[in-house]
Amino acid sequence: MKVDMTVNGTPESHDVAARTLLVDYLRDAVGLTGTNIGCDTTSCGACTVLLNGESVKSCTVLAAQAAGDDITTIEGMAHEDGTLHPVQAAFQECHGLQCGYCTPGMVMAITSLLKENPEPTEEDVRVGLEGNLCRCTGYHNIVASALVASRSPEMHR
Amino acid sequence: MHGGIAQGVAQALMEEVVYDLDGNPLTSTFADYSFISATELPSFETRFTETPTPINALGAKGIGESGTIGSAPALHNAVCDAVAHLGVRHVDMPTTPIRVWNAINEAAPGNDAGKKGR
Amino acid sequence: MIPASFDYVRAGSVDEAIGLLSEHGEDAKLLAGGHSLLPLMKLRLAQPAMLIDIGRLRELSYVKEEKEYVAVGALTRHHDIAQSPVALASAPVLAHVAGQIGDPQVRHRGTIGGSISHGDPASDLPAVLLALGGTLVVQGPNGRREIDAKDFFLSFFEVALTPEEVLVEVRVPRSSGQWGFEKLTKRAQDWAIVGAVAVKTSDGVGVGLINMGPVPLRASAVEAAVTSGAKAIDAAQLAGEGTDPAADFNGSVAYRQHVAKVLVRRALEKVGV
Ligand SMILES: Cc1cc2nc3c(=O)[nH]c(=O)nc-3n(C[C@H](O)[C@H](O)[C@H](O)COP(=O)(O)OP(=O)(O)OC[C@H]3O[C@@H](n4cnc5c(N)ncnc54)[C@H](O)[C@@H]3O)c2cc1C
Ligand code: FES
Ligand code: FES
Repeated sequence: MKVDMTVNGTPESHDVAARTLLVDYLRDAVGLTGTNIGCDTTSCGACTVLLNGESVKSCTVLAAQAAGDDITTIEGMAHEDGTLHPVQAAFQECHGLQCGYCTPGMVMAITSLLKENPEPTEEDVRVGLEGNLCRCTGYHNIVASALVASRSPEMHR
Repeated sequence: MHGGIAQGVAQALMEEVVYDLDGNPLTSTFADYSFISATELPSFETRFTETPTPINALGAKGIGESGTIGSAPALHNAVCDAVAHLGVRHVDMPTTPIRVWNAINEAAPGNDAGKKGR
Repeated sequence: MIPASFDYVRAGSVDEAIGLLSEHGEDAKLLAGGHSLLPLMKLRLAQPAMLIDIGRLRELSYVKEEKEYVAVGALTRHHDIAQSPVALASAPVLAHVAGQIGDPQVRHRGTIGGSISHGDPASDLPAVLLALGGTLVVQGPNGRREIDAKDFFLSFFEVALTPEEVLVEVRVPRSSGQWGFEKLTKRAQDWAIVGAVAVKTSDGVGVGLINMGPVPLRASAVEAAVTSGAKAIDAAQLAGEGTDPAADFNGSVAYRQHVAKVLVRRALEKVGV
């Protein structure tokens, strides 16, 4: 079936099987492999993207369900001139990643969290990241990144 | 270090590979295997002591694992200490809620309700 | 992992969904948020031949205040219930519990209608509905009918919907009063090992249990004890009555019954019993 959606501001239209998951549509049909698959049981959050601005696990959404929607992936976060999005910049500043596998999902989950709660406490961030797993960092620097990003003037515009 | 600490905490409290009596794995996905998340963990304070090793030219050694080596026994001992006044001398790792409850029941004289549990 | 093949149709209205269900019978399944159905399909625990996507029926996404009750559209997502000013004011326990389901990503997709129609005894919202004494409005080829929450959950993953029916609205009595919700999990994102909810209602205190049997349960013995004046600590001793929890590596039957007593006591204390 034909599935159309907007990905990072660009209209996309691809012929895929009905059972195609959004994450596979993004990775295989659109060719954006920044979104990772870490578990396939909706547990790890590595596949998190923004659907109409809200975090969702793209391994548990059919591409067909997202037809007509606006999707943002990690590739759509930085500005056109290459300047990093404040959440990405905070990860760089705070050393919020090690192997980087969880990072695209973490960045998207935190972006959604900060939109809903622009001034979170450390506890708000820890609870808000309950659906995103990271094996490497112990989360300390990821939580710090989220708090630093929340103080970026760009996030409050 | 942070990741090591987190993994040690997780090993002490929840992460474990479980099989049924026929040998089928029961924890084959992250839905069943309790991979620890940010919500269960605190932030960490780290302090450094420098003791260069004499056996290589740089004086350096990897330290990532040392977080795991310290945090697992620290957490496990804390759990055992918390229930020591109930007569508990030992709880198998990881100290999941059911294991702690069983250990408390086994230690309580005349109460074997928990012995049937895993 | 991807699901087995199926045909996909998006329903433009409830009537169209009912028409498609009537036409395709047991082979077809409704798809709301997909956060219970798609995980099962990926594991091949469900293999419907057709999915009828009702996720876009915006007209079924609302939280409204009526005279006697709060009406929640079946397609309202957990996130929207948790944030709804109407729910927060007039059904605060529902808003709180919706905000505790899974994780933020799950709450951005999962719907109350899906949670209730799925009939999973480990789900949180059915127990709230039972404790509050809610009503379900379902629509089929012959129009609408109402089902009492206590008559809705028939057996393991089986509810009182016929194959052509769509759950359209969930109604709960208004309750700005006290409530307590307790769930034991190993990790924040996990389903409840055991959960309990207590709410003050117009006819006393309602108590619901999560994951304590093949269906979501109402702790009737506890409720009766509270009505006859028992204190929380004594009433909670009856929390295991009528339960039939499963045993797994997270808990034996005896452990779950023990935890139910502890959680029911805590929930009752929060409603001032
Ligand atoms: C990682 C994860 C963690 C979760 N944790 C929890 C938790 O802690 N507590 C909890 O309660 N839930 C939890 N859930 C389940 C979540 O709440 C689901 O969203 C919910 O159970 C189903 O809602 P849905 O809209 O996604 O339904 P779907 O998956 O779309 O549908 C579920 C079933 O209901 C049927 N159905 C859906 N809508 C209707 C309707 N209007 N009328 C008739 N039939 C309908 C479908 O045909 C299907 O059989 C979790 C899910 C995931 C993936
Ligand atoms: S791959 Fe989607 S949650 Fe893990
Ligand atoms: S940085 Fe490796 S999993 Fe998070």
